[in-house]
Amino acid sequence: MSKVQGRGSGWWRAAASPVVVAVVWELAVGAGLVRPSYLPPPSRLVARLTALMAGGDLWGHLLVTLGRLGASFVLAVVPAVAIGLALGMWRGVRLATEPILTAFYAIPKIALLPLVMLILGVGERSLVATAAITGFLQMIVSTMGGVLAVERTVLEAGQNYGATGWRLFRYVLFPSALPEIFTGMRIGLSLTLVLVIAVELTAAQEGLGAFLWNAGQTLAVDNLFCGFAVIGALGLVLTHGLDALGNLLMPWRERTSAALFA
Amino acid sequence: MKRDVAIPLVASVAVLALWEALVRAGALRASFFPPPTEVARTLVALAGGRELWGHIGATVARLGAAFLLALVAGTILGLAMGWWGAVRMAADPLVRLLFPIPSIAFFPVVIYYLGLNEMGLVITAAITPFLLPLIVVQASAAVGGLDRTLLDAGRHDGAAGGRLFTRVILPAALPPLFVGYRLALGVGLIVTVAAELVMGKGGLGGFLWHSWQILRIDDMYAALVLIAGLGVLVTYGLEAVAERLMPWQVDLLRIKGQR
Repeated sequence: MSKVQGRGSGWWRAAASPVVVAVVWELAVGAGLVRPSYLPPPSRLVARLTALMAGGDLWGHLLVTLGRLGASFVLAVVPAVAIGLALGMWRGVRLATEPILTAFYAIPKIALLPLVMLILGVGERSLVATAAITGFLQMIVSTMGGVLAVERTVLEAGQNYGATGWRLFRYVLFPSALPEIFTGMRIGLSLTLVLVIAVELTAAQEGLGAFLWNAGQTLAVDNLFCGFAVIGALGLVLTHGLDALGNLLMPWRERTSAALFA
Repeated sequence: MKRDVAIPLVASVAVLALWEALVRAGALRASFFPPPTEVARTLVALAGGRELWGHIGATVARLGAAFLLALVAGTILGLAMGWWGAVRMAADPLVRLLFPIPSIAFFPVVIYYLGLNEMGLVITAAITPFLLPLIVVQASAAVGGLDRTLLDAGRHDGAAGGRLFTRVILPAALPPLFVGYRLALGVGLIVTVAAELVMGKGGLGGFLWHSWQILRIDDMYAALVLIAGLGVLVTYGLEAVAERLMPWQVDLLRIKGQR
């Protein structure tokens, strides 16, 4: 199939426009078109970020956020994959849980924070649990989808070679569903990060979300941009890093490129 | 066929009945987990007043404004990125850079400039929905990857300029754009509710947070039910619209793994 446009090539193309934006921004502030207290220039932000990192304050917030993210994800991933596999394989269970799953999947999970705090009390446990629910539901749905998408012929081929029960699951069904399960984990982790930041903005004293919120409230514009940059970098690293890991671990899957949904 | 309806129905009724029974038997505290009948009564009572309708209206209006803003801007830029290589080269890296950033993190930055008001909330809620269609268009390269034969066939039949665009390019780009819109509406609702929780100025999210803070648990559950309802409507409503508009593309638009 002949395309109207080919794919863009070369890393310099990807870097060109962000660099142009940064240079124009720097020059505009330098020329006095924009007040630096309103929009601090990139050079000042880099200096501020270096100072914050050296001071150790921002590291503390970063570690708190990473801790919450890790705890939420670990809590969610094992039960979610197990339940997703069960729902994919047994139709009756799938039908019975469908209404509950549909309702909870569609609800913005941040709205569950008050309910979770009512049950677990105000504090760390509630923040982690609320963030975990998001990834949990996403990974159930993706895993289930992965099992359901395994083609009949693949299963029948496995059966013809004499695989049944556990062997059929271990050597045919599970590897076939794995790429989809992994995609679910990647999306689940990204969603968990969104929720961790959201609960930190809403109800925490520490963590990158709380740092960002406090910077905005005290009009510390340098800190505001630095906090935003660190959160953004975290999002970028998680999305692209996990994607590269997936391509490495599962050479048989079609290579996916990061930042694409599903 | 009958099983497909009966099992989910029986299962949901059973869960609600179990919840009701556990509360009535005293195994669950009614002050923490009001029974479904109680929540239903609260909802009916609230529906009789005007306050709740105001909150529903506020959330729907904010979501609508954010989505509309994102839809118009995202569609125009998405099509332009597909059609003109220069636009794509300039915009694509920025879109890819901004997209993985957790959307709610934009909120403090946006309100630093616009203030803690409606405008700040709507703009924040519009950012990810604006980026999403662009990402999806890029993913499937709707316009950029448009089959050359389709264009040639269109030109051969005498379509050019505006006609080529509305009759050939737009219909070909519509299904992937719709995937973007559906995801965007869902994300838009998440960010809207999250921003309402933080901002605390009405809307279903604000009502939810306020009810929790003054421990009016019945109201909190009522708000939660309505937010869930809105979520279901948003997630599956656009799917139904797409089914009407593009019956040949239903599979693409179905939520992954739903059935």
